Amino acid sequence: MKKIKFLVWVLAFALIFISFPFEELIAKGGGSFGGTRGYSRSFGGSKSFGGSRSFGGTRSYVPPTTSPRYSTPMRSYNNPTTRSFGGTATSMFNRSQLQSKYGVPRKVITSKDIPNLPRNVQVYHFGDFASGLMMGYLMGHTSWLWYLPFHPAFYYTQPVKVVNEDGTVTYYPPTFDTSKFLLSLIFFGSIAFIIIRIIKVKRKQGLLPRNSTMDLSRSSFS
Amino acid sequence: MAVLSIESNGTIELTAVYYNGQQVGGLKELFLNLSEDGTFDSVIVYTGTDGLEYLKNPFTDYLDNIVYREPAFTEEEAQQLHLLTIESDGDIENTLVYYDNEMLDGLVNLFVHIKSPSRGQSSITSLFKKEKPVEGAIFKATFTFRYPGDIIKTEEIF
Repeated sequence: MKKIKFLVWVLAFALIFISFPFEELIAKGGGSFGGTRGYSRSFGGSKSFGGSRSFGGTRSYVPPTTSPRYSTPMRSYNNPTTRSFGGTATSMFNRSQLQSKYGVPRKVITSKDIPNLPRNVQVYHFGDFASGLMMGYLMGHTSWLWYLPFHPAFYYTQPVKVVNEDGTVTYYPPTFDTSKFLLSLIFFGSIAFIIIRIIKVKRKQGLLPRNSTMDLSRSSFS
Repeated sequence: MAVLSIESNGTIELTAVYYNGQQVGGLKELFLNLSEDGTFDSVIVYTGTDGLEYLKNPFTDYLDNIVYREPAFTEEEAQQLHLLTIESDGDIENTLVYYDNEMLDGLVNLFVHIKSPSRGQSSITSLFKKEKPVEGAIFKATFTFRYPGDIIKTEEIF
């Protein structure tokens, strides 16, 4: 029993830690276009392309101040188009990968459609639930309910943001986070299991009313 | 002649039914309505060893696949219970009724209806339900005597 409780506590902390929207809280103006908000989360899977960062780490807004090798003008952090290697490999790779993953968007939303949208931003809308979530995130129309496990949005990632070679930014809809979903299932399953166990133990101890079943073990009737 | 005995304190939990001296199990329902006017209704419903449900007349039919079980009560416990025994071949004229091993006479009617409760499906929600009376359980057992002066009196058996 103690082991189960310990396991549940560990799961609870893990779930809270994983699901807590740190970046949402840190980033100001949450949901508006631009800013640093979307970078780390949007490219959550891009860490596997860490090798490309050896060409300058251009996606970082904090320039590496120590290494003189990266101080060439071509690697200006303000002008991605001047990069010698054609922009960040991360975004290139992601773009092709994402295009094959998402397919053809139903609608490409630009600043023509939404005046508040920055001119260098494209939003790929696929007309599904995730696209709706993306628009909510981008327009800032989110709710605190989205961060509760009772809302489907909880199980989706943030919108995927891709910086293109020409400096434009493309947003893709969030994807279903299977690991978070499974973790939540384990977490709530563990909670339910413990509650049921506690109720059964209490019933055995006579602290709760018993269920409406008869003890017919000694009767001819069953 | 089949011998059917019912040992009970008036609750289904503490009710043992014996058929020809052996305690049976898996009973669902037992219904007896015997009257001096010739009425002889007797039905036993049980789940057999093959898992099938049988409906028989315990005094005239062979009880196929009936489940026999070990005696459930000790001698001391049995002393707290009443024992009703019916020995019959299905004809009221050839029926003897014993109560706590004493033969009864002057019987006008014997009525026994015992039915086990319906099984509720166990679910998570059942854990949170309050205790309710058991649904579907029936326990009625009365006998009616004719006393001197043609007085008819009905009494609880158990």
